[in-house]
Amino acid sequence: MLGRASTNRASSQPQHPTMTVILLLALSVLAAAPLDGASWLTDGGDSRRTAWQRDERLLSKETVADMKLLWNLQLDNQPRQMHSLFPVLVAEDVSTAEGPREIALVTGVSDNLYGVDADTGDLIWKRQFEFDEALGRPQQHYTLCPGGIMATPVIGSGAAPGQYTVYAASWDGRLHRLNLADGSEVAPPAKFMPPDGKPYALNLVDNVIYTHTAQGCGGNPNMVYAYDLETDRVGSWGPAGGGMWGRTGPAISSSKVLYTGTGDGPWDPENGVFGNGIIGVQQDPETKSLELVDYYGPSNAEWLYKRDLDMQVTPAIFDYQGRELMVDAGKECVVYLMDTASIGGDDHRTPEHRTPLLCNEEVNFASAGIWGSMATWEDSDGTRWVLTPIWGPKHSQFHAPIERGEVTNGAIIAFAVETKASGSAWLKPAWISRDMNRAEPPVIANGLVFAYGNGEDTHQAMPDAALTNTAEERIAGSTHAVLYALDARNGQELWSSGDEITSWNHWSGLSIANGRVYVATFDGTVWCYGIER
Amino acid sequence: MLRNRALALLAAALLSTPGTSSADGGRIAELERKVEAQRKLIRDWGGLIRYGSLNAELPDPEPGERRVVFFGDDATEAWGRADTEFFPGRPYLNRGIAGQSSPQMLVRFRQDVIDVQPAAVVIQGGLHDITGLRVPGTQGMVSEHIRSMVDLAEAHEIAVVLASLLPVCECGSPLAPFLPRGKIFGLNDWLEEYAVSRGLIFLNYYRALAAGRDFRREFTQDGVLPNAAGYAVMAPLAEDAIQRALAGADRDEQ
Repeated sequence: MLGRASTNRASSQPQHPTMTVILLLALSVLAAAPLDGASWLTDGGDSRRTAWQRDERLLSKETVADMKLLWNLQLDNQPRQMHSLFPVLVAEDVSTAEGPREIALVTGVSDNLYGVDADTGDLIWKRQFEFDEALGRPQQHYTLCPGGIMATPVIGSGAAPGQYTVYAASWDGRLHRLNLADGSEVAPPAKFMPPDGKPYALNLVDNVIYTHTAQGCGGNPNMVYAYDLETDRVGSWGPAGGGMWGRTGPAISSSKVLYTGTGDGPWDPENGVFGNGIIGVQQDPETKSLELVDYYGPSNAEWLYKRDLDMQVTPAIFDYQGRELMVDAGKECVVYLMDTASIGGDDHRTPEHRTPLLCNEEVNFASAGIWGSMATWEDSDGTRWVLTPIWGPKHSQFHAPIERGEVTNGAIIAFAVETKASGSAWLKPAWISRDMNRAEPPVIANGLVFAYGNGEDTHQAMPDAALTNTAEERIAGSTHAVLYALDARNGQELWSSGDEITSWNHWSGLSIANGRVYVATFDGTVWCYGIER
Repeated sequence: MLRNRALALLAAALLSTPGTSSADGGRIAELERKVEAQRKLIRDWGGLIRYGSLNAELPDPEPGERRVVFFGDDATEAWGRADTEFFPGRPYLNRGIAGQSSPQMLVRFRQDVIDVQPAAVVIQGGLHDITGLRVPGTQGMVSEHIRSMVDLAEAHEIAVVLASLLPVCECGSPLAPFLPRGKIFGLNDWLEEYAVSRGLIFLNYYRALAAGRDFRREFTQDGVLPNAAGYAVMAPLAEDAIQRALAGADRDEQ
């Protein structure tokens, strides 16, 4: 039973039977030869959360002008509060009973997973998890704790080419392992974390599934969890205050240290409280427990906590001149550049570089600042780039050599990583994009940056109405998403979806593989943009 | 929020109405500017954003360090800008915010004074109250806020210097016609009497900077704010007042 779903394909597809046959033949030839070579198996593209699709060969500055809606698919997932669909994952050449297929995995908050044919937009399979009430019963829900599946799954490669396993944490806290080809369970569900919590996008490194939780949903403490697939043992660690709600889940370094930002708690490391900074946690290879191995608290952490300026952003980790660096940020709208060898220096308060305020001049806790995750890529000249989305107006005192117009609702800001005479690295402002209505974390491929304004009403408090953080209010005030393609070196707008996307989204994101960019919206629609092959 | 949206839709409808004159458009733009200014004021009426992050970055005072906060409005904030110097080498913090009235200062007194652990505070405020330009304010209302600030400071063992308002003259500032010399004089009298009654140090800038009831032209840039020469006159007076206040605090401890 697949449930209700309807696919709309781009109107330019030939309708003539002969043309259709020719096209199908051509497609079958293309499908037989894996000329594309790209997948997007985890939120943020890889375990270091770079959001950089290194294997893209179809979309480029030369072809992006031909980008269009290839298909959209209406799914039957029911939204919960403001959540609906999570970022799409993509695996190429999945071995199925019908032959190799490129499958897009879509996660719906109502404990749904969907396998979708990435070529056609047709629904292949649907799986809805059942809440095991023996583990506990869901509590009252509200905007921040909507209930349902909350973490984008992760896809692991199997033993044989074309075999992929989907790892998903269901609403009841169990880890499910599914065959991506058909959605069947390949192992019994196993307890991963307490039920009714709020985990974020899963990460998979060396047979260990990582995630973290926030908001105390379900009455649960906010914790980092690691599920060891070889031993089925779960390790956990908590910041003892605040939660971890980087949208794209944790980033894992080359040393297998999990990094993420924390928020909504005090920063008092002397007393073991890490509620508003960045923490590094590592699995003990023997006991499989998790241990804190490094941490960084901004020198104004007390101010950040007082004004609800959480460090709630997923970091991005990258190599730079023989070192491994990391960037992260928070609602205050400052970006921190750190060396993973010691992210805060000897005093845990000194990053390698700290930008000035990029936005959020008004110290708005809900509708401004940096939200979601960071992004990074390296161009063919060897220049390392760092990108961040911002919400709200650009700070009046922050400037870049290239600015693409007034920014009032949000934008993408790009930096080039450079080395000072002292040998330390810093973030040199490069460009600021056009205005985007609540710019979301970008993805990068082949010299292009894809970004979108999500169209969400992000207000949580208004002077004349006090707290308005109800889903009903904010859903009514939300508009629609707009997808943009930018030149990654200078931020020039090369293409946009205009008004074609008719809904908005909350807490979702972009994915890109093999000439297709995916975005999913609140109304349950998956939108696939790209170029005809 | 819905009400705001309704207003926005109404404004959009007005703006898009055929035949709307450019005069109407200008008036609406001016109204929008005022609404935006009011919105910003409501969001941070006390001015807590201005120094909040900077305060959090401050380390605790070193042993023996006697930190001093200059807490006030325009004349305090401008001290140290352009060609003026703000006590180089001294552990003195400028926590002035131009345009603030005394109740706004009272709101941020804990964040910008108490929490940075000074040994002394120099309080100067009330000008914007008695002009009545931003808020209705009287000497009686200013005095309540000043007294509350003094109570808070003393409760935290912070020595207090109460500074006079500065003189004004019609020397360029568009504010000048609205600056009531008589009220300034009256508030300064009350500040001095109150300081004496509480055993506080009164810092009389006014006497050093005025000729009659006018700001001496050579000490002001516009009739409201001091110039470098004016601040150069004020600095030793402030230093002397601070040292006397700290000495008084030391005596109280013995």
